[in-house]
Amino acid sequence: MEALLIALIAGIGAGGLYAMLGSGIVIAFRGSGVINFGHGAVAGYTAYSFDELRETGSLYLPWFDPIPEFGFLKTLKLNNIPVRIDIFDNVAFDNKPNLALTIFICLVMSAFLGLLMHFLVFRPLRNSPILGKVIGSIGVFLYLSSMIVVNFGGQNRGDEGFSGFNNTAEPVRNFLGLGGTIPRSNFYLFGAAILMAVIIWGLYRFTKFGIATRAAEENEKGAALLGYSPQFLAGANWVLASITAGIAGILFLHKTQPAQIALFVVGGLGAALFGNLTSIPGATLGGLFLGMIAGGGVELTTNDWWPEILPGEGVRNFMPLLLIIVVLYLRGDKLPIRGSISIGRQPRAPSTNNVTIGVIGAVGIALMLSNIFVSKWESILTTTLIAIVFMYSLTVLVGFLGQISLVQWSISGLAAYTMIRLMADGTKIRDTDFALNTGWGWPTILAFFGAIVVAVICGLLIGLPALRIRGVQLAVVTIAAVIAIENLLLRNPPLMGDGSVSVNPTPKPSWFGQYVGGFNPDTARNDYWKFSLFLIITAALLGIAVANLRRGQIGRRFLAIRANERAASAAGINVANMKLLGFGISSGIAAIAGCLLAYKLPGLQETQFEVFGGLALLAFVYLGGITTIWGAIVGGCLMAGGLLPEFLGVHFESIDKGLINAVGAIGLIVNAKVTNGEGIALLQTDLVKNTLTALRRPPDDTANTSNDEEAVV
Amino acid sequence: MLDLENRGGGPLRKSNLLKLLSIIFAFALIAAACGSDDDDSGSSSDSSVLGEEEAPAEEEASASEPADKEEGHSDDDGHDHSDDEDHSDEPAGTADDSLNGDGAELWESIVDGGAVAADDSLEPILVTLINIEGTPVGSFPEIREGMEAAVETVNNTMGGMMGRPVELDSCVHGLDPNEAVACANGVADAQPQLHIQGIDFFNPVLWPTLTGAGLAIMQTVPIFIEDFNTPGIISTEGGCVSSFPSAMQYSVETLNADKFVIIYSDTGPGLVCYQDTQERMIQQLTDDGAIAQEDWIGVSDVSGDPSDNDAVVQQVLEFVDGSDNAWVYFGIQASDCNEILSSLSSNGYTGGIVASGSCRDDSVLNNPASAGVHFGSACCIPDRPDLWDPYTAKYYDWRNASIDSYGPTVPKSAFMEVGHDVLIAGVIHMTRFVEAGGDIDNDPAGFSNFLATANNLNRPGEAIPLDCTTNSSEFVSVCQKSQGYYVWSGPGGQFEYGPLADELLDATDLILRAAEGNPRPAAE
Repeated sequence: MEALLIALIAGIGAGGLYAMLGSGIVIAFRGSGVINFGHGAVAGYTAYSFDELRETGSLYLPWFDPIPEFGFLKTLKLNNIPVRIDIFDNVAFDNKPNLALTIFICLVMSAFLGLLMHFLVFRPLRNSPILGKVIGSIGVFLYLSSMIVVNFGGQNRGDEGFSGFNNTAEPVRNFLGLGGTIPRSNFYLFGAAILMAVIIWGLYRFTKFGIATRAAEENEKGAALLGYSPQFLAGANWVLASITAGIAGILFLHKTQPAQIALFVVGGLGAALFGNLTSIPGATLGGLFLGMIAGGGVELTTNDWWPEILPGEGVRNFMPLLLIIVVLYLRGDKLPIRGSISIGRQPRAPSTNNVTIGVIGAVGIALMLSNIFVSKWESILTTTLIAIVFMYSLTVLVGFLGQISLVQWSISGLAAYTMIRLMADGTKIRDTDFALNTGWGWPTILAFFGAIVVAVICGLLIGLPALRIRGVQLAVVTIAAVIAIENLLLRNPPLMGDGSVSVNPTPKPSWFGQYVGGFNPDTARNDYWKFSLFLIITAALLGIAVANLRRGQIGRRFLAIRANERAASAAGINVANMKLLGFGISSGIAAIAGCLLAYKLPGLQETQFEVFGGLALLAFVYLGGITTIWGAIVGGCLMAGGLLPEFLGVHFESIDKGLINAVGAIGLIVNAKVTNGEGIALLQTDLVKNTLTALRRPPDDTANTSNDEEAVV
Repeated sequence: MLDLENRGGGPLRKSNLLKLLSIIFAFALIAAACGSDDDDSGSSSDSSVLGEEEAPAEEEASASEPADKEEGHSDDDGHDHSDDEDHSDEPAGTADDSLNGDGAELWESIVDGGAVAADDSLEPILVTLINIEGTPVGSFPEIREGMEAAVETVNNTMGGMMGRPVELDSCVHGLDPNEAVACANGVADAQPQLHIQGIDFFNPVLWPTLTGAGLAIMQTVPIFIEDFNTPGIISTEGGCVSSFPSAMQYSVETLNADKFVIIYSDTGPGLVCYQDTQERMIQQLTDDGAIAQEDWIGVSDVSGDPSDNDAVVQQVLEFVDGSDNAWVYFGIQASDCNEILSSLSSNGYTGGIVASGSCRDDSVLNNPASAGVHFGSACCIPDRPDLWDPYTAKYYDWRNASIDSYGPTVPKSAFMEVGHDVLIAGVIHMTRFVEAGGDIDNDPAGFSNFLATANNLNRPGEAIPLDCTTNSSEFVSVCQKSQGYYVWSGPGGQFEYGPLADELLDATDLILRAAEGNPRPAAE
């Protein structure tokens, strides 16, 4: 018992980080109504800057030289946009720069990041629908994560810390007579979190700036009428939030790698929700509570009596989700939906006409490519098709129904792992396999549909909170669910087999006696034509189904709910049933994508289904167009590993992958503003239609034409 | 049609935009005034040393001469040694195949023969590489950059591979196995003379294609069990198989630990590596009577999650409580090593620590808690060229000159050097294969077999040869099974010899015994 208590108390160290991040997320939300998924990345970037300054004396600005050193451009030597500033000279192991000055510079960098986020991302998106803002913050996360890779590289970092925030101080022994030891720096982190909370609380409580922020939070229009600029307040709060993130990153750096700090945003989000997204003391308490659970959970779950079916790491990761769900469920209707002066329209979701012609055309093109391509390109084609199938699930759930779910990719993983478990019979599948899975040895088709059923049930369970919460809160729940599913369900040998912790070998799939796996046993390439054909047919059928769903009664109800839940309910639509139906359909489609991925690859790894993968897929379907089938197709072609980037990669292979990711993140943010989520697909359609209209118009016809063919919801 | 009015365009908006631009511009000006851009970072390269372009052929500059003495050079950890002993004036003929393995003398004879360019009119030797780059959770461009530098050096100064230019075709991908599989398909289609597998989180998914295509394959850094036990792949680097069995032996038999804790990573590869190369090995030592069953435990650490570190360390402290000679072994990656090291220190742990070579990077060595840690190293005592044998010293100087001349203008790293050396090993051994009558263009299986049956194989720079004929059937692809253990004096200090002095601990016998006594669960 003493050991458990000590572990719980020691958790105040990590809890301090969660608390500080949670406070920052609350500040940003109060100032602008945005839940910033990139908040941890700001902390990470600042921590890297701190370490870099201490080690080399250089500061890296959060951008890259946009002119690539490529081909003839290299000879022109145009890449002179400053990226690095050499601030301190003669930095050495025993000659570190002045600590206070280093911290000050890093916090200025944090503030600068806050300003950039405000002016370049969230201010332009201030009137966008919630999805646009979520995408904007995902863009920030992806951009800063990429810039960390580009500017600071992949080398490990270690910082010895400073003052009390280090690892060399004598530990606190026998705290409260409980025995054991607790690092002294944990108490410093705890103190820092409390101090930060008190200062921020005081700032909002007693200063004019704080009162104005609270006024704008309650009623932006009213605050504007009182003479406060909501945008100035938003900018100032972004700066403040970023500074708190920077402080958190610097203070916690002695305990971890700066790259890891970006991922603590989930704990920070849990803390912020604990504080109702408005209360700094609440967020601080929530963060400390989460940290203590994380610490105590290790002690608890390593006991002999702990059931093996509940992986300790999974349980620890489930705690933030549980906390978030409980808070949202109990207080969901009281959570603030911060308003703005005006909210932009939802993206159009036109129904697709002439589906059959489109499908025949798409199938024809895919078959032609499949026959033309050599094995590498055949594999890229199947990657694209699987992504398209998955993106259909987001089209239904996010595009039609307006539910921002970030967990669908994990549901794909759950289905794939379930299918493997159901199919496995304990035999070695390929010579190179190490892990052996035991299972029920189900036939392929039965296992396929069994996995879909499991995924749909899981999707419905995750959809339950959506009955009480919506928008960005749902996004928070689902991002926490991603981590919980990965660690609690996928990495669970008793549940998913021995292969689930490493490489999970896929049994050879066979439909009606025909092998339909991606790996061609005759050529040893991943290019089996029957799999390509199977995939093309599946993608086509699902495309038709989703298009018809949009055109039918269910699709119209979905769109009505997306536009206004209360109005939809008043119109006689059972909102709860429709939401669950949407989650079920979407999870079913995501499950099919997961099973197809398992068919393609000789083995799966749970890391494939982690949070980055899901965010990237959402980003690309948003770029393509989240509300249309055509958008999913464009998104599938655009995603990393899809046809277009691979084609470009042939010609631009010398460009750093990190830069490509950063540019992709910028494209995502720009797209959120410019196309409002309608993406390239509708932009393209509009362009074609306008061009055709212009060509058909008589020369003397100067009347304006309107683009009213499509139903705009 | 664009409707600017409806989109909020207007004087106020323009004004704010101008403000923003002025802020950015001000920052840019500050940056321009205070600093420099990326272009002029890093060391300058001096290609003349290796004989290219500026070096006239008649100068016959020695290829073993460091590229730029003022810049210093780095060893396999990337540490700078500008003040270290200069080996350039040592006599030629340091390599001895009977001591350093077959291929050492060949390398030396080529580099001592003066800079010779490859004959571009001959058909190139194609070497392919698959590598993961640009992802937030792992990016290893240094592997590719090291290989690119090696290719340039081979083509410009070593006369290519027996006159034929070497062509490197890299396929890099992100955190998506689909991209990796597409790369493998491309490599299989290309049918290179040699494929070198970079660092890749998806190796097990790629092996069916790469081995199925009948390619000759060498690895840079093996990670997964599938990397160790897949026939047809040769690893001159050892990974877990090199590090972990020897560490068990070192901790139990050499250090005589009375309490021994193995901290392993909770990732997929980490967990499997623990079960396969640590738990089975120490169980074998337990069965042999070297340590009691209750005197050792394995403790898992969640990789990349510092929130569990203190709780993990609490378990360690609880277990070693009352011990006189407790040792903790880090079988984890460097980022986690640093965190656990810090946590052990901040929780007041006073016992000994043994760490695998993967823990040995700048972040760990600069941690004050690293003083006194015993680090594993496959080659030799790190950072101490004064204690190296002449062959190793000469090779390392040459390798550093190669990277200085043809590598990127960023600090050298361990991975860059691994990439470089594996490519050099490939070229040297392909040359040997051809000299022995092999057909490198049409007989990849023959070349693989040539390596797999070598009992005196040179690993570039390593004084002790590899013996691939003693590979356990459980680790059929790993030829590197020895490790030395050296004591780090602390930040700013240097490595010293430990109880083994300059001897390497060969774990071959333990690995073979474990295969008998504690075999891996058999596949059906």
